[in-house]
Amino acid sequence: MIKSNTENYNKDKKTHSFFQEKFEHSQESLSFSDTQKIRSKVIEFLDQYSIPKEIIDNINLSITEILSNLVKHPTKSLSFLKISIRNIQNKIELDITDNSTPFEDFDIEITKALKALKITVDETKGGYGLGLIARINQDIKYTSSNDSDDNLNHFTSSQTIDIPDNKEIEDHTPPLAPKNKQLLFIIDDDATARKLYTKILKDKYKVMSFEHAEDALKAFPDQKPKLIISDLIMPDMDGINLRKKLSELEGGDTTPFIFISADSDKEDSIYIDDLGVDDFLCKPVRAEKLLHVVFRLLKRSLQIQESLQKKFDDDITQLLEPAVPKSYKNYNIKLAYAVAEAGGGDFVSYKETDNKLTIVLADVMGHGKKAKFFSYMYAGYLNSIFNVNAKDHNAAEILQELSQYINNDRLLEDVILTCQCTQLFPDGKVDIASAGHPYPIIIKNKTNTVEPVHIKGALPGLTDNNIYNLISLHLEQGDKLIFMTDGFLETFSKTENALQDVIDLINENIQLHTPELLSTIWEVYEEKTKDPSAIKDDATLIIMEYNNQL
Amino acid sequence: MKIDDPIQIKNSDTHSVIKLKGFIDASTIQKIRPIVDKKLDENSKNIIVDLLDVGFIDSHCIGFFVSLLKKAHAREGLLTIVGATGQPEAVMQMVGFNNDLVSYCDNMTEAKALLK
Repeated sequence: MIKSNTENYNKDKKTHSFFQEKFEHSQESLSFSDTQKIRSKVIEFLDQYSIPKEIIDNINLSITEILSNLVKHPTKSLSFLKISIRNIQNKIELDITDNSTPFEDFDIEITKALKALKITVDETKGGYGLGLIARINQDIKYTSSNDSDDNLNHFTSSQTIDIPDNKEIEDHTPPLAPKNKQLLFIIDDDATARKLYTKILKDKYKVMSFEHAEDALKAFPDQKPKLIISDLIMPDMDGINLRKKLSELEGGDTTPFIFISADSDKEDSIYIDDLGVDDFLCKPVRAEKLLHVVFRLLKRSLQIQESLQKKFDDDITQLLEPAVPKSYKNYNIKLAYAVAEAGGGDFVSYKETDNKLTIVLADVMGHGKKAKFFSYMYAGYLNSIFNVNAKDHNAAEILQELSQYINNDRLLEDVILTCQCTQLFPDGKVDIASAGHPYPIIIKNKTNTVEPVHIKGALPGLTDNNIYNLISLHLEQGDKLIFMTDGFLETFSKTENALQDVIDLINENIQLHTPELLSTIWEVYEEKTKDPSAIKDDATLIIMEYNNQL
Repeated sequence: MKIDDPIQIKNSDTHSVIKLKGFIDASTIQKIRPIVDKKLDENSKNIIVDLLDVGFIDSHCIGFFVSLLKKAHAREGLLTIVGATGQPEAVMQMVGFNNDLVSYCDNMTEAKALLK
């Protein structure tokens, strides 16, 4: 007999006991089929809350390992098992209580198992279960029935959920709010079937049902269901045609699709037609089967989306990785950068022509994928400007071209970026133009002075015809120029003093050569961003030193 | 292949493909092992495990992979894992199933190309 499910929130303790599952039996012991049922219930239940998938996976794995052990090694018949899950602040606590034979020397064994958690081909060992439990859980505690007051074995462990920006959990709400239910479409010309599927699914999902496939097609673009369940044979538009038409709609080809039919012979033809059907169920459909298939497909669909997204992010980040040449004629150039996890979008483009090196340092405002995507677009565009015009254009003209391009492009007009174009000439002449970018800093070797270079300019694309100023500097032996993006500067301070803070830091280390100076400044930056969540924006720092004895 | 079958095995001259599906734990492995013993061609050198449709694995599945790894190595062949993402990928990394031991591929085409 399996009983489940009490949900209550203890306001004083901020404890949300949201799951309890009991197995009690007088004669039989626990079977694999019981463990599957228990586990599915736990996971499907947890899945309704906004708990990261990785944590649900870890809880699932812990329960799977422990229950498998109880089924496989029943030295003493197990007739009582209780699984509870509690949410305390940002922790999810798992508690498994049973009356089977206790683990001996659990603490010693689990430490050993964790150390031994490493595959080798030669070994004939098994038993990775305990090691995995140790690896994925925190605060593991085991009290054997010999030591507990209730003569039961108690296993407790916890998982911590990262809460963004250390957000305080409000007192009066359960720490984890239930997720919005996912929307499913059901299409069947038979009203009884529609009612039945809706009844089965409505506790866990939001359901919209349709008698005609045409109506479902019309509703699809606005409603964007997460999954579609359709009868195969219907008057007017049948299931196969619905699937085909749906593929033509945006997002339609990637929405999981389940066919239901009374005729199991149709199954092969559906797969042969390569329609992108994810599953096929035969009528009559059992509630448990339908719930399981829907749950599995939604989970799989999410996994695919996540892995594609990750690949896209990694590819873009790699493509945008800022790079400059290590040296150019009489200049040594060093660069350091940090990529914000959430996105941001610094990029550096450069082009060496006959008589100069042109470097553009830019920072696309905003966070996340959008900023990264636009950075990628800009980097591409700048490369094309360079290839055509770098030889003849000065730094200000390059920014003008970029500004014009942004102004003319409707896709880019909402995107803000700051940008700085620098051209290095072999004789120490350096031209700089700026479009809303932080001031560069110059270190003069002869006088040992550090000061900002006051070069200003409007953000690119702000008006029809932005005109940029050009500052020409003449570097002497040992002079250095330092360029940075906002992400670097803002780590020091959000106020206008940030630049002064950086100047002070340089002054303290003025005797250092370029590589040492860069690493010293960067160490301070890294110290300030020790917690990876403190990196809100990409940060880039470039130091170039003029050395005519190179 | 019926939808509920957790395993499908195909043998060819150069390799055998084991396609797993769904949730792979102790009970699944119990069902799978005799099928593998019976159907996996002892002569094919390389083994490809297709995890594209697998959403979860446990330590018993790891034990099963180790036995396949031994088989492949005994024949001086490769064990290739296709489509391990999410939880299965995380668990495999945790126990040290790294690139020195197995080859990871995103899809079957890549896996087959690797054996050429």
